[in-house]
Amino acid sequence: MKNKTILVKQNPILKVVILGNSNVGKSCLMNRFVSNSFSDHTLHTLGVEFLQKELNVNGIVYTLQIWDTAGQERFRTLRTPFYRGTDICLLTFAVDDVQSFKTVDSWKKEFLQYSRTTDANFPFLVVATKVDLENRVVSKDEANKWCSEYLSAPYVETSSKTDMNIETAFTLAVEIWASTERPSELKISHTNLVKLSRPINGSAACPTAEIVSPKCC
Amino acid sequence: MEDDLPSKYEVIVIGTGMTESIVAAAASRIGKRVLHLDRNDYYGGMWASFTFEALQKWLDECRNGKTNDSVKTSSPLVQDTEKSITIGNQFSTVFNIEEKWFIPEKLPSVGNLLSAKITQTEDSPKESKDGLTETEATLKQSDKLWCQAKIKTMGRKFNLDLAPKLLFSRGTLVELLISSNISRYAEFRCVNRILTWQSDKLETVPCSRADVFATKNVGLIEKRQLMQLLTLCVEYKPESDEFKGFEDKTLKQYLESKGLTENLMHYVLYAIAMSNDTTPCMVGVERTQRFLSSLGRYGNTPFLWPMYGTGELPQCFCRLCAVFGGVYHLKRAADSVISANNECKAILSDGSRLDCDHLVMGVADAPPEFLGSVPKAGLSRGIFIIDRSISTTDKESLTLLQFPIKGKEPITVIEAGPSTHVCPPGLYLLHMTTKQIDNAVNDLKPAVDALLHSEYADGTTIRINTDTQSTQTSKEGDSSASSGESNILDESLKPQILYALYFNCPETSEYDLSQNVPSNVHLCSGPDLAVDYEFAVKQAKSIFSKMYPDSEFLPRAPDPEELSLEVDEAAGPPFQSSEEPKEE
Repeated sequence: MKNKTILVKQNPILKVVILGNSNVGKSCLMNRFVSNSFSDHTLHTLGVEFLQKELNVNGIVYTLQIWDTAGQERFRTLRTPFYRGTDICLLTFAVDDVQSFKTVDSWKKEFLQYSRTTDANFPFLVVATKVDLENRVVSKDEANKWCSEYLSAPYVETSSKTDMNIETAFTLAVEIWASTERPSELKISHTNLVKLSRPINGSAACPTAEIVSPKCC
Repeated sequence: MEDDLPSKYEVIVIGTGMTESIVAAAASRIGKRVLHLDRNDYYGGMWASFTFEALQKWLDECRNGKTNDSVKTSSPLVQDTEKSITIGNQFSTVFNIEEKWFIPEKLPSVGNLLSAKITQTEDSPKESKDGLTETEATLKQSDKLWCQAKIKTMGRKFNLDLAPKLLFSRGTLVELLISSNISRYAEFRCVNRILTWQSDKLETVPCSRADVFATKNVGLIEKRQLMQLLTLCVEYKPESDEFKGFEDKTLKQYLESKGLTENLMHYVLYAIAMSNDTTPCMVGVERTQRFLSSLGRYGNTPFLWPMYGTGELPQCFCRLCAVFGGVYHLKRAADSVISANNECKAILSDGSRLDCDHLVMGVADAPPEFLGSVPKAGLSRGIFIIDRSISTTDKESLTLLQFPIKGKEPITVIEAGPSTHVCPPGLYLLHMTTKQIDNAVNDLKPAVDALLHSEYADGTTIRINTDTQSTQTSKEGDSSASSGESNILDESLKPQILYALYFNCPETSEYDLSQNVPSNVHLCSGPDLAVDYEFAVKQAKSIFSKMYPDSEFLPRAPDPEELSLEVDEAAGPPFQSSEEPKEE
């Protein structure tokens, strides 16, 4: 494993995507977790692909990259460039919005379709948001039951407004990830890939040199 | 529909093809309000990649979708002084669709073999000399038997490109992906083999210096000649005399003047200069330079291929556009363009009027009025699912072959295997593209006949096993650069075609698309004949600079770390000073 020797002491980086209908509070969840702030009117910050935060889970410091849907969830236009390489998927719904609860399943399906994950045990966590609200229409029991029976994903209730269970939810997500066995096939298929942002090696960076000096002729 | 869209934009882009997506990203990046629509539920239009099932759906749409749903001519949303022009229909531009299976629908025996394997491997795990139990060996054999049902159950593992293309490692698209920081969305593999077809056989073209020295196909004197020639081309400057007198001659004539052997001439002309008998000398020199300058940056050939197929690339630009505030709506068609005084004012879509300053659209969506005359040039495309590589080696290869056709454009052949996630294990995808002369079937016939076995396979006999074949090749003890050479294509070694699809589509890169359009409408060509993306990038740049002449084209997008540093500044100075992006 080449990567391990190069990345000395770097935290494990986990890519987290938060899916769910518009207005369930995905950005609030992210902002509360990353910058411990809350606003009733968060707007998508232009140019922000993801926010990062370090999180210590059972003695290991992870760097979580939490990707912003950039409004693309609204008309379901998220595809591979967003999903690629995701480690953890949070499926969110708001407890005052029954429609958002009903669509959690379709978000899971959408994720599996477009992330192209071949992992049958991919770590999902269902996160209920806005549990501080009075006009709750999805009960905890109902959600819990449905998540375990139908989605076979753990369930956690949060409120970004009151900062309830926010860090707990992300910690839980990392724990699920850490306890999931990943198929080794995934690792193999990631070798020999070219990432343009990281040229393979310095010496190959001068291409013509190779051809220009035919000194052995 | 959940809710409706805002009604005013600076740029509306219709269609998510390559050029359209680059323009959308560039406009959004400099802060313009962008709406990007596509009538399909996928990105890419004629640049898309499909699973097997999605390809079938696309074919159905092409076969049936030729009638345009008529749009009401008068609408309260159109003012008296304005006129409404109905949008075109992209599916009506695909012709001569020929789809053919070369394998039976079902193989009843496979199911039995599989269940036999499952029950037996539990009690008696691996044994025997070659590490295979008898049933596993049977299974391995049966793995090589294909039927339609088997392909269809693995349908999601395919990414079948409508417009397969490669990126030059130092081409404008790679530079753009890097400079704009869009590269983070995509992964690539290097094309690791360039083949050519000479004297009825496939040969590996030595392209790097190491290859030239390793190859057995070229004698010692030829090696020196080749190195000298390539060096001349790389170092060529306009003021040098080397090519004097050849300005109005062909590359072939120049090569002949250098006394190159036929062998070398073939390599240089067809594979390295990617030219043919009639290519002008200086064009050929320029192409040779481009080829050589891209060598060695990422691999031993000049080319990269996107993982999951070329349909990924438009999406990367769309994602950047969205991150900078662009609004995306797939499965939403534009119905008509509203114009007044030779200027586009708005579009009508799904009963809404959406105003815009600029309208960018793919040529397939353009109203026929915008095109003036019907573009005549076309592409002949072939997509083949095959059971082994056209030239098997011990390792999976990603291959480019320019199949020469006397007196005509070559047939560009790209072969990709399972490691690029374009097909399931055990199979390869072969793409062929050439200029349309007749129809796709006839235009591609020379390459199909030469390279592929296109008899119907009834699924009961196994043709020579790929494993045996690779053992034979590796026995010669060659490195990957030279193995597989002189692979005379015995009919029994040719890959079996399992499934073939042919179609023709327009090629508008030579067509003047600005002739008949309102001044603020910008049409984007579909996929062009060239193997690379130079044309699409160039066109996108030119459209962008027409719209916003004083703005930078896709400046580097900041890394998220850089932005979070800015956000966190109030909390205390960053531990390490790093380059802060200058944002407007």
